[in-house]
Amino acid sequence: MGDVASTQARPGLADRVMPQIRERSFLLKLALVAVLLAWPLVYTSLYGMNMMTTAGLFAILTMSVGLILGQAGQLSFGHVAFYGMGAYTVSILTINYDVSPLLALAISPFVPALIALIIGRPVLRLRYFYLALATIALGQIFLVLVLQLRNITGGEHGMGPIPALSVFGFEFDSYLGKYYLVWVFVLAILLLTQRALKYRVGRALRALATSEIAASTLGVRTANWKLLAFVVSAFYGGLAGGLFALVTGAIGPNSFSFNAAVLPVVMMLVGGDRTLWGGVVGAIVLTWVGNGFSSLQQYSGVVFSIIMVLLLIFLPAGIAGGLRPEQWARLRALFRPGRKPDAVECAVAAESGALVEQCQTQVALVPSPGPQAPLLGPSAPAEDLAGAPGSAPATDPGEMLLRVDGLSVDFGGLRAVADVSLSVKEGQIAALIGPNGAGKTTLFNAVSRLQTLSAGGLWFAGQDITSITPADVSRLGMARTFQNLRIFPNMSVLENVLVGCHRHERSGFFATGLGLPTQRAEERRSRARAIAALETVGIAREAEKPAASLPYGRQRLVEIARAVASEPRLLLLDEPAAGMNAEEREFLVGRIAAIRNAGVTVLLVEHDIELVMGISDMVSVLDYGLLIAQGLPEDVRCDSAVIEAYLGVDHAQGSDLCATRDLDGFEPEPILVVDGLSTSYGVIEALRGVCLDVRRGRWSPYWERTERERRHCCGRSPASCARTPGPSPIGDATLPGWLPRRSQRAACAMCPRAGSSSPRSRSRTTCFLEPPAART
Amino acid sequence: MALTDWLQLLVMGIAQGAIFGLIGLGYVTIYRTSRVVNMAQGSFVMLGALFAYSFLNELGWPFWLSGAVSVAGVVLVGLAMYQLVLRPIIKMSLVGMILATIALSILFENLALLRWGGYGKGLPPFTGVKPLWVGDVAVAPQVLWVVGLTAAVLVALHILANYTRLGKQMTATATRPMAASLCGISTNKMVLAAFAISASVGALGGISIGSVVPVAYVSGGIFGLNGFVAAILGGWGSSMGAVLGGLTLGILESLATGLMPAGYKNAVAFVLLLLILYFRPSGLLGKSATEGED
Repeated sequence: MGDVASTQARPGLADRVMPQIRERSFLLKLALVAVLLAWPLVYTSLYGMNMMTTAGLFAILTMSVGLILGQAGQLSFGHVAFYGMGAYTVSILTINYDVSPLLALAISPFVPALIALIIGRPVLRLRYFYLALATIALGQIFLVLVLQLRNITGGEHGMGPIPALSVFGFEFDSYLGKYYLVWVFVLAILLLTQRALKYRVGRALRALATSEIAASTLGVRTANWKLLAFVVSAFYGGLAGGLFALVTGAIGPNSFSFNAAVLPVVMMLVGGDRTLWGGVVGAIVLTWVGNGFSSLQQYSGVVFSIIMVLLLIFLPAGIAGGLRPEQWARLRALFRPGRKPDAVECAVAAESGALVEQCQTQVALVPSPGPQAPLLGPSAPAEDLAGAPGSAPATDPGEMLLRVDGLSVDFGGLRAVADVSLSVKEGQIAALIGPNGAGKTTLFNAVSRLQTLSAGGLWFAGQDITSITPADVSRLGMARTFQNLRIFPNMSVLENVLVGCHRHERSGFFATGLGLPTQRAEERRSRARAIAALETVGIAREAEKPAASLPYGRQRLVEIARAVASEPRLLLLDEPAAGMNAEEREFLVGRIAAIRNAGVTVLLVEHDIELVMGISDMVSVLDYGLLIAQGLPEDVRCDSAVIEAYLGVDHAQGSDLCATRDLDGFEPEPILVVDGLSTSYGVIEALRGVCLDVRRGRWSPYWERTERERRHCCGRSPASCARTPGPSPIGDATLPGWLPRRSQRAACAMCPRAGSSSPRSRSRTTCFLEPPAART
Repeated sequence: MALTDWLQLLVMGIAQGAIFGLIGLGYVTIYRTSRVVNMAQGSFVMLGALFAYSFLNELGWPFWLSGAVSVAGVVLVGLAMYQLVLRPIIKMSLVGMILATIALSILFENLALLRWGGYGKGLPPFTGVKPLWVGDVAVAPQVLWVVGLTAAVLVALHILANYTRLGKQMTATATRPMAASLCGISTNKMVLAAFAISASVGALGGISIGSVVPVAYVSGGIFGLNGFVAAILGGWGSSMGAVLGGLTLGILESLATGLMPAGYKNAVAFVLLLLILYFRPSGLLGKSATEGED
């Protein structure tokens, strides 16, 4: 294994990425458990114990919400129904049927879980507030049934008394007994679920919360995972309800109204929805705070809602979530003005070409190994690859891997892809090129099964994939990246790439939650795979950073690493070089070649003709949905149809536009001057000291490397980014601090990139982000 | 039950449905311009009726003046609510924003409880109580007012959206906020306009329904939920759909009371809602509820 750079880097990285702080976090957990168990012995107030028992019930309920809403991102208000079902199960069984409280408690979570299992699939197909509404409906239906079925539920009068729980003769009827009963469950659920969420289960849920499309192309069966989260959430809710019935001894429908559905969501947000710990903190805080206000009598509701609003405005990440990253950055900058630039800033600095001395060692790209170097290092040996469950049996090189046969895609009346047939041989780098709007991405989407076909067939690795889901295609060994990035911004770089390993993993909720040996071994293998994939694209050093903090070009590399980590047989790259500078592009070409040499077939869509021609074994050209040429790169380059599609027939006339109007040496007055403009997104500095000079009557093309920088310069994108002012006069006015609307009043219009309608307004200066002639 | 009883229920259902439709219009108007799902929409209805009640009975103003001032007052509440609370939250998260509006509705509810107490307050009908008889079916004049008002608001919103400068600016803001702002449109003003329109529509609904059912502090939540259902039934985002959804919901709820104990009314509406979301996820008009990202 001749990959010197990566073998040297690997041990250090593995140490960092598989942290040795396990002992510390274990101690923390132990301390928490000790405090919660010892607390009522030290602070023996009955009121306090009662409060904490209530808080514990809410903590379970909040975790139930946190799982479905905080992690899986599904806006559900249905948990109050599950809570109620659990409570009524216990009271109906104990009062109407004389079942022992212990057995009733054991049954109580299964009733809502079963109902969630039955209704889950149709309900979870809905998204956003449609889902919220459907789950609100669920709660209302439950409430109406409770009120109407008086013979069974006691109607509005409720049910009671419910006998106290007794286990082996020990009665949980004292305040202390109830406290321990509830908090033992809280801690058990917290530790189990927290561990499950840290690994495969949590990654799958967080991935589908941000992009179901990206998750499904990585082999995550999103519908199943949503259902799992929903059922587990219902189970926890039912358990909380069952405990509630046993602890209070009497229940009524008022405890399960719509307001009761909102409270745990608030607790989750107050505590912070990133982790379950936050939910527990929120439940404790709000229970105490809420009760403190009950002395305010009728004003308690008012005060409570005002506090809720203030928290949402000023502490949106919750108490446990703490301050937002940029708030932290501002605080840190306040106390340590002369600190070293961190790696993120260095990366930006490197991209913009600025020389920051401390940075150079940090951002040096990992040297590309020789073309014959294996893709995966010693920690993920090749036999692991072939033997990995889910990967299809290998075929001989040169055999047909992907066959597209007469494929058409229609959008309404528009035929985006028309009767395209092509095939990709195993071991090739095949490229798909064409002008904007030619149907390349649509074809990609059809191949990865995100897009329904109007006609035609698809075969991959000898199987007909015309009618299977994206997740199943991924499981056959196809991975892809996206033109408009779909990284998971709520996860670290490493976690993003680990989602790519999903299809090779088997651990479910309980295996992960309990940390069974098989799961531990699997996680180690996945981490090795993920690090190898990160090294392949040269960003292993940034493994622990939040993915969203990386600059655009590097986020692309994360996506590629994520796809590589799934160890595909066919890798689809959709404009991998978009938003990269020349050096990064060159590096990328080397990496794509290395990926191919490791035995992965590559199909890429790209605008950069030079890049395509340099590495492809075969090129297909699309124009207006039709395949107009196909063959070796050098043949395609000379094809007249291709030249026409790209340049247009009369491109020679168009070049007259470029002749400037001031041939007589006259320099028109400057109309827009940008002088030392800097701007930043949180901690990332996007622009530093940009200078521009636009003169009246001139066409001033402005080329820059990444889209984001371009947009900044012209558009002064809205107030979401902080501006460091530098003087930039327009006429005699100065722009900094203006909203875009005001700069437009001063006659500076901007035509944003694709997708926004162009402005119809009287303007002297038009900032086109891209020259309109270059677009179709 | 005889046919006339069913027709009588139908008339009640249409009146109720028209109000649900009005509230649904409020949801849609705000959502289209600002992407805010305003769960406090029902509070506008409740406050509209209670404000008018106070001006009319406590200050002794004439009904038309009480109504007008009440609408203005609710508009102020709506504007303040966006400017002070929602605007800082709007960019952070969908859940946070929905919760903020829920928190506001709880706030309004509690304030109303403090000021007006727990009992429902009635308002006089616009023009007398003598019912019109269509065959054996009695139609209260107020029902006609409510239906007429809903129709008028629908037409007015249509004209606003398609034939006025403000409407076009609002549409531009709704589709591409950034592009609209680059064209010199103040997106903030547009969102404020949407809140003002929604608040006044809600308040009008409250004032007109006050003579049909007494309005109490809890009414906001009930009206709000039904209006939300109406907006979704009609295909979230479409004005016409919201009104159709409201009428469908109102009529179904009303007819259901003829079939089973009145307590099941809400459950029937929600079961039907679930069925519609399941079999026709796009609502009556509009696009899919199961649509993908982007």
